[in-house]
Amino acid sequence: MTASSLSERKPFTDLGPDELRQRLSRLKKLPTLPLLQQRIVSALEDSDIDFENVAQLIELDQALTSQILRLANSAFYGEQGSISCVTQALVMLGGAVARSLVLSSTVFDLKSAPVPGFWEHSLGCGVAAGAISEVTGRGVPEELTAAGLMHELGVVVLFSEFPEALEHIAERVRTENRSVDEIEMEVLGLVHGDLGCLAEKWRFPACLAEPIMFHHSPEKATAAVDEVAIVHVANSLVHGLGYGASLDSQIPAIDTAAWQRLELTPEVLDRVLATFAVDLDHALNYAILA
Amino acid sequence: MAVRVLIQFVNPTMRLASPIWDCDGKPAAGRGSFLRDGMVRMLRDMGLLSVVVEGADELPSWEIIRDLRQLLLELNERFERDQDSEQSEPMVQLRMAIARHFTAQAELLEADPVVAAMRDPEGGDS
Repeated sequence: MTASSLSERKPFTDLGPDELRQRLSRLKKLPTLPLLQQRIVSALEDSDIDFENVAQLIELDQALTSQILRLANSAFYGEQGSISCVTQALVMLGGAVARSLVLSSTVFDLKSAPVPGFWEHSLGCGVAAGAISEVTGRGVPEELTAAGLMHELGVVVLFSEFPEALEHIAERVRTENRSVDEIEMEVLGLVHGDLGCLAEKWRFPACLAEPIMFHHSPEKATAAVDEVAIVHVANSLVHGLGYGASLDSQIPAIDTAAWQRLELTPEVLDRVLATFAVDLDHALNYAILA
Repeated sequence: MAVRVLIQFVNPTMRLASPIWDCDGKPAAGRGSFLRDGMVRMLRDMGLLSVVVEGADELPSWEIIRDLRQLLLELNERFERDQDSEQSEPMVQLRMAIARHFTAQAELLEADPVVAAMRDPEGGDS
């Protein structure tokens, strides 16, 4: 979207409900994931990954090459300075981490945050989801980290398409002390999770797409029930810790069925929080380098 | 205003508000030193978890180390914003777990060598 197309638009408050709905339906025409990234992601989904082939594709994108090498050489993976080629980096990181990195680094720029603290909230949710996955042994921790990092994709889409609407919603959430979902329904007739349908359009696997769509309504998950439950709880956990900020001014209530599914006893929760603290430190080190 | 921040949140625009001494009592970093990458690496190698910095007036609340009492007060405020969710068992469990986590972190920070590292071995004021 260009700056001029933004400035030519009518303010969202001048739009009638029909026009607003029409605009929202056009969101499905947002640019698709770039072709190169699609090819990389699909090559990484292959059960018998050809790392040399994937490396050749990655090397066509300078920024992605540098990110993969930086991650492989970061303190997080303990190989500081010894990994110099993409193939080596891919073998070390594995397909799941590489795929998560490609998706999360190319889909949207979290640092162009719609709300102060939004990037921290997303990062915190990613780290918390990874920690829950690691401690409970459910899902793939690296994929859960990516799902948590991207769970607010719908907010990012709203920010890019309806910045005035997002500002209006954020203001009402702040002043009315109600849940963001309630206000979004009143203003837009949908919730930001609904915009996560773009994740399906971008052919994200269910373990990433469903947490984006259903992190506020885990009972709707069908293909990735554990992953949705994990991101749902991780979101509330990061709100509870007060790390970062999102549109929500309240801590989203935790669904009892999702909670019970993960068997989060006090001992498990203590381990999740301890893992979170260590992993957040690592992630911040990497994020600052990246 | 000088504030204490976790070492992972420091950035190169911040400056040390007090000098830091190594375990032998030798100066390791002077007051006013910018917290560039090399400096941060050295402080991490010394085992510091936090530093007291100036030039950080705009820091968001989650990057500043507050005392346990303050952290627990804020935790209660966050959970009491929504009366409905406060009632559910998962929310009660989560709140208790976060309180335990804050307590454990506070104990860890209490033993942080930053306190000793900032103490002038001559006993003078930094």
